[in-house]
Formats: sequence, structure tokens, C-alpha cells
Amino acid sequence: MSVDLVILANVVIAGVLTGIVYGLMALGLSVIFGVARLVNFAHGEMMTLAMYASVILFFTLNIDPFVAVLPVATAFFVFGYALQSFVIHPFVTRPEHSQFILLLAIAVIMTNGLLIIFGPDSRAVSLDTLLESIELGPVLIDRGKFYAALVAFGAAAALFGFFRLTRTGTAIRACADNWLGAKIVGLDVKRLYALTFGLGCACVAVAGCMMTLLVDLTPALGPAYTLLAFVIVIVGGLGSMSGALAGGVLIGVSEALAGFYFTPSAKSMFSFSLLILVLLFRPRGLLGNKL
Amino acid sequence: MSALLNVQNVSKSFRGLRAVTDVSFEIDPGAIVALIGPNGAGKTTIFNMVAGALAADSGAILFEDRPIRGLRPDEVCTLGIGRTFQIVKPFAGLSVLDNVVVGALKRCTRVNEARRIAATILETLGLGHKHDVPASALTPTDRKKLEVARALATRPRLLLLDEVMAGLRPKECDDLVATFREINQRESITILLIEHVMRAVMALAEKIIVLHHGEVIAQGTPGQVVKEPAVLECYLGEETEI
Amino acid sequence: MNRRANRLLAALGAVLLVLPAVADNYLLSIVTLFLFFAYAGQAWNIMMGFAGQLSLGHSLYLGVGGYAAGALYFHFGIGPWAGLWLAIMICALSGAAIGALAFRYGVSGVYFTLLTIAFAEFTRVGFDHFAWVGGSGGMFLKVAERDQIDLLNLRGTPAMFYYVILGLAAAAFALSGWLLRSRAGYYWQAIRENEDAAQALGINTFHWKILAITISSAMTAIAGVFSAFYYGNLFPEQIFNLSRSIEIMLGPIIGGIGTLFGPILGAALLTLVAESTTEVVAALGWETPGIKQLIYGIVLFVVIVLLPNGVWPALARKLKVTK
Repeated sequence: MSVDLVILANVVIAGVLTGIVYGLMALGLSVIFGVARLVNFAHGEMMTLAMYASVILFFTLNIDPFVAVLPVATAFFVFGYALQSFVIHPFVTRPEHSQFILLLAIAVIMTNGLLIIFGPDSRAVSLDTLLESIELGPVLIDRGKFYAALVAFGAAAALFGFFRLTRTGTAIRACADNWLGAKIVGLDVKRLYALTFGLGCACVAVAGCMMTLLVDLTPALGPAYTLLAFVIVIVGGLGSMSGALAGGVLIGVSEALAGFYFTPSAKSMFSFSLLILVLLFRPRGLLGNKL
Repeated sequence: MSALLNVQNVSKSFRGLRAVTDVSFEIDPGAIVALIGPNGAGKTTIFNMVAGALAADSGAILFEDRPIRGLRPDEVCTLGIGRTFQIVKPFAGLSVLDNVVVGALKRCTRVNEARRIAATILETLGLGHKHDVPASALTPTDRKKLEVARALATRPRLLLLDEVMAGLRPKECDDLVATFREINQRESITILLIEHVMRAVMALAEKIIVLHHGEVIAQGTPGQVVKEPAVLECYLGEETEI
Repeated sequence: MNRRANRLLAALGAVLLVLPAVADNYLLSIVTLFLFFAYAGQAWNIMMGFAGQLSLGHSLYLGVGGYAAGALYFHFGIGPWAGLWLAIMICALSGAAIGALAFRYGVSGVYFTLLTIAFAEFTRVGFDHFAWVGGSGGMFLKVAERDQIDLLNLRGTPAMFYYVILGLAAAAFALSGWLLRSRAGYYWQAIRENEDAAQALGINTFHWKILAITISSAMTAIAGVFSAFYYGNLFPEQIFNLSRSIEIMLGPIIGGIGTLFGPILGAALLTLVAESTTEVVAALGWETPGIKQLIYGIVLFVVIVLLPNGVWPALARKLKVTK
């Protein structure tokens, strides 16, 4: 294989692996946005919070992110459930822009809270076990990225399973399809919304823990990831879980390629152009249902 | 002039479900015509097509000999057709007067004059004393009247009324019937109404069009239509208010 | 407006007019900032409060407006009063284009908001690479000779800038008041309340929404020009930042969307909160970045939960200035 092709393969594979983690993050948003119809403008900030949690556990208690996933995800599930139940639920009946602003306020509080507590300097997690790359022929795969993607994929699969195979999961999907109908049938919509939000947050928590292995952490990541999550969900298609994953991989790969061939900052320009185009010309995204 | 409104072979399907099939009827200037039929017969769909809210799949709709199929709702209003909605859509955050002013501003650009016109129309509909009440605070009956007042303010030559009488007490219904008769005669406004309340239909309509499963099954004077076997059959077992 | 409101307004106006005579430069700079946000908030309010479209991308017009006039001055020595027109034109066109695209394709609600953010962010990164205006390193306008007043080139004392922004804020207030009571105001509020009903009454909602965005973006462009010359510099990372868009909308949201006084009250509250925070933080020795924004977030949170229509409606009732 020519050298150029090998380099391209490396870039694409790195993009796919990162993309799977992005996909998990977006999956959380898709679930929240698609089911509870909540515009979670604090999504990226929650992920950043999870990243910090993971980093703290690593530096203080020597717990590596793969293990930290469980406690952090559980904590975030509880946090999400409580936040939805007590703070966000009253806003379900209010005009859309009210909800949006509520979550924007939460996002601002989170980002700046993190900034005050941790400062703007970046932090990174590095594990000795991950230093050696995996070799697949001439192609080198970053071990950390690989395992992170694996965990992310596993979490996504678990979520899929929950929604398809369990009664509660089906109930939640019913809620998403027809809120009023669900109520009439006797489903406790409030509890299901809270559950959904909790699950979405847990998703984001897992994605966050894995993301610490891929990027350096600063509080400023929050807003950037929120936008990225929306780009992925809208491009991949609202209401489609596979769309969120597919969208994540697509964005991961295009970012990797854009960053490689142009400049690193060009990658966000690409994502935003894609968002604009999709919003205008195919709002249901690649795999979503007709709006 | 020939007919004011001429609906010719109009059809509409929603994702394979035929809502309206090959419907044709005419409305003469100055007439009051009722469109009746069981729920789901396609009456509001026809209204929406005339008013521009929906595009007909095929056929022609002519208003004052001008084709209007496919025009936007605001263009249809400009040409002289006003409408109410079956589920009323008041501007909740605005006062009663301001609601009607929005309508009046269609025909006169100066706000002060629009306010005077609006006040007069509200008077005709018995809402004169409620100028400053926020629309969200109105009773359902008054909301219906507001809806009519708003549409009237745009000086329509054809007024489409969608189930305005629903939920009104008999006395309120009779008052509104009298108001519509007056509007029809004094302002020469042609009225096409969708109604389930037979009391109003019989009192107002000179011509009735009966719709069932998206098709016209009878049209004519009330006397003629009431005797049509097809009509009796479609209403057998249906609940109608007499 | 009733007489009580008129009197309060006159009193406020009088205070603002004579302020430079009695205030030191620091106080003047604070009030200048307040007036800036009062102005920008009014401009934003026209789009959101009147036509009901939530834009979180107004930093786009601040930046493009500022850079347009700034570049003309920097490269060609053309003064800001002329450069202003280019800024307004470009921003009005951009706003109209974004609106036309969005409304033509039925993008509304949160999708519209995301669209506006996307355009602003795209432009931010774009300007980082725009070498002609300095790229990410920024563009610097000639250092102000703080003692001489050169109104033509907008270089001068803080007092000069103060009166300029006061004039702008007053004009914006008057314009908003006039628009609110005009046919346009009625039509916009109708569109905001119920677009279907508005259409049925003969309103071409597409045109009117575009008009709202165009006016809003043109006005915001002026704010951008002011900002460029007041601070003397422009950085893409700062001027196009999402934080600017959020700051612009904080005033109207907290004060009361769609109202005439909301943006002013909101801007005043925020300036008050910001300055008190700065004082307290300095006194306690807690100097850290982010405290001010955190407080903004908390204020926004408290207001949206407890007073969803903003502070002004409740305050107006208390002060008995509503009709």
C-alpha cells in the first residue's frame, strides 16, 4: 500500500473511532430531544462535567476512565432524573423558547462553574496501558481510541436493547410517538420523561469518560460539544438512534479529514456548513422520520 | 355576474386517503349557502382549499372568475375571501380590539382608522364593551364572535364560517343567525358556512350542499335536500341537533 | 403610555443627559456599557419580541458590521460615519438572506435558533482565517487620542462615545415604540401569536418576518461599528463569540420580551449585577475568570423560572405605569 493511502486509512480509522464516541454523546441528545422534546442546550456542558468527574477520579483515586464509567454514569443518571423531575418538567407546557433559555442558563452556570473551580488550563488523562498502538497490517490504531470506541459502542448497544426489548423502553418510545395517547393508556409520562432524561445524561457521562482518552479537557469544550451534538443529531436524523451513531461517525470522519487536509479549525466550519445545509434542505436528516 | 365562487371537480388525497373526490358546486353572489355532512366528510378540507391553506390535487377553484387554486392564504384574503377556523385561533396576547384591528389593517393602513373600523364591527357582534379584554380571557362563545369579527374586518366579499355555532346556546345561536343575515343583506357579503347545528342551517341557508365521504351527494334548496333519499340515508343514525 | 410613565422616562432622560458632567470616567464607562446593551437588546427584541423568532446568532451582525467599518477605516482611512452604511447594507442583506432561507424552507423554533448559531460560528472561524482583516490576531484601529474629540472619525473622549451611544439607545427606543404602535407592530405581534390566523387575515408572513430580521440585523450592525471604534480593536474569537449573542439577548429576556421597556430594564439589571459582582469579587480577592458569567447564568435561571415574562411586566404593575 502506498504511504499516502496508509496515512489516509489511519486518519479515517481515527475519525471513525472518535465518531463512535461522538455518536454516543449524540445518542443521549437524540433520546432526550426525540422523546422528551427537550432542547437540551446544556448537553455538551454535561459531557464536559462528566469529563471532569472522570479526570478527578483518575488523579485523586487513580481510577481509570474505563472503571469510572460505572459510578459516573450512575451519578449522572440520578442527577438527570432529579433535574428533569424538579426543575425542567414544569417547562414542558411552556413555549419552546422558555425551555431553551432554561437549559441555556444551566449550561452557562455549568461552564463557568467549571471554569471557576478548575481554571482554564487543559488537563489530560494518559494511561500507560494505552501507549502502545494496535497494528493492523501497515495501519496503526490508537489503542486508547479503540477501547473508548468499544465501550461507547457497547453502551449504545445496551441502550438500543433497553428501548427495543424492555417494557419500560417500549413505554418510552410510545411516549415519544404520542404523548397524549400514552397518558390515556395510563403511562406515567412524568416519570418516563425523567427516566429518559436520566438515561440521556448517563449516555453523555459514558461518552465523557471515554472522551477524556481522546482529547484534552478545558471548560470551553462544553458549548462546542453542545453544538456538535445538535449537528450530529440533526444530520443523522431526529428520532433515529442509529442515525445518531451514523451521524457521529460521519462527523468524526469528516472532522478528521478536514483537520488533516486543511487546518484543524476548518473542521468546525465543515460541521456548521453541514448543519446549515441539512436544516434547509433535508431537515429530517439522513435516517430520520419525516418531520 | 356568474357565480361568485366556482368549485370545479376538486379532489384532495392525504397519503393515499381520498379526502375529497371530484367536488363541484357554485355559489351565487349575495347568497348564504351551507355545507353540511357527517364528521370527516371533507368539509373543512374544502374550506382549506378555497382559503389557500391547502393545495387541491386537481380541479379548479374560481373566485369572481379568477383562478385561485394554489394561492397562499394571504393572497386569497387580499382577493376578498375571509375565513374563520373550526378551532378558533385568537391572538391570545392581544386585546379584543387589537385582534380585530389586525384584520382591519388589511384594507386601511392607518392604525387610528383601523381602530374605528374595528370598534364598529365589534359593536355589530355584541363585543363592543370588551375592547380591552385580553383575547385569552374570553368565553368560548365570545371567542367565536371575535373570530368572525376579525375576518369581517378584512372586508371580505365571501365569508367562510367553519362551525361557528358549535357549543352556542339556542338564544346565542339565533342572535348570531340574525347578525349574519344582516351582514349578508346590508354589506352584500356572501356566506358559505359549515354547520352541524341544523337550527342555524335551516334559518340561514338558501342552498345546501351535502357532503359524504368526500363527495357531494346532494345540493339544492333546503326543501329539496331534506327529501333526498341519499341524504336521509347518510344521516340515519347520525346525531344532529334540530 | 400614561402620564406616570412619561414622567419617569423624562426623569431618566434628564439624568442620563447630564451624567458626564458629574461622573468619573469609570462610571461613565459602566453606563456606556449599559446603553450599549440597551441599544443592542432593543434591536434584538424587534426580531424576537415582535416577530417571535429566537435568534442566538446576532453576534454575526456585530462582527460583520464592526469589521466592515473597521476595515474601511484601517485600509482606506474612510471614517466610520461612511463605513456605517456599508456595515448596515451588508448586515441587512445577510439577515434578509438567512431569514429568507430559513423561512422559505420552513425552519422555525429551535431549528431556526440553531441555524442562526451555525451561521455565526461559521463566520467566526472564517474570520480567524481572513488575513485581510488581521485573522485571529485581530484588527487594531488607530489609537484614540483621548483628549481630542474627532467625531467624524469616532476618536475621542469617553464622554463623546457616551453621547453617541446615548443617542443610539434613545433612537432605538423611539423606533421600537413607533414600530410597536404601527401597522408593522400589529402585524408582527399577530405573526408571533398565531401565524396561521395572521395569514388568513391577509398578512404575508414571509415578507414581514424578513423585514423584522432585516431591521434587527441592520441595527445590530450599527452596534458593531460602535463597538469596534469604542474599543479600538476587533478579534473574531471575541466579537463573533456565542457569548456576545447570549449577552445581547439576556437584557430583553430578563427585562421582558416584546415589551418596550424590557430591554432597557434588563440591560440595567445586568449591568448592575455585573458591576456589583466585580466589586464584591475584587473586595474578597476572588479574582477568577467566569464569575461574572456565572452570575449572569444564575440571574437568567432565576428569572426564567420565577418570572417567565421578564421583570418588566411585574415591575410595571408595581409602579403603576401600565395603561
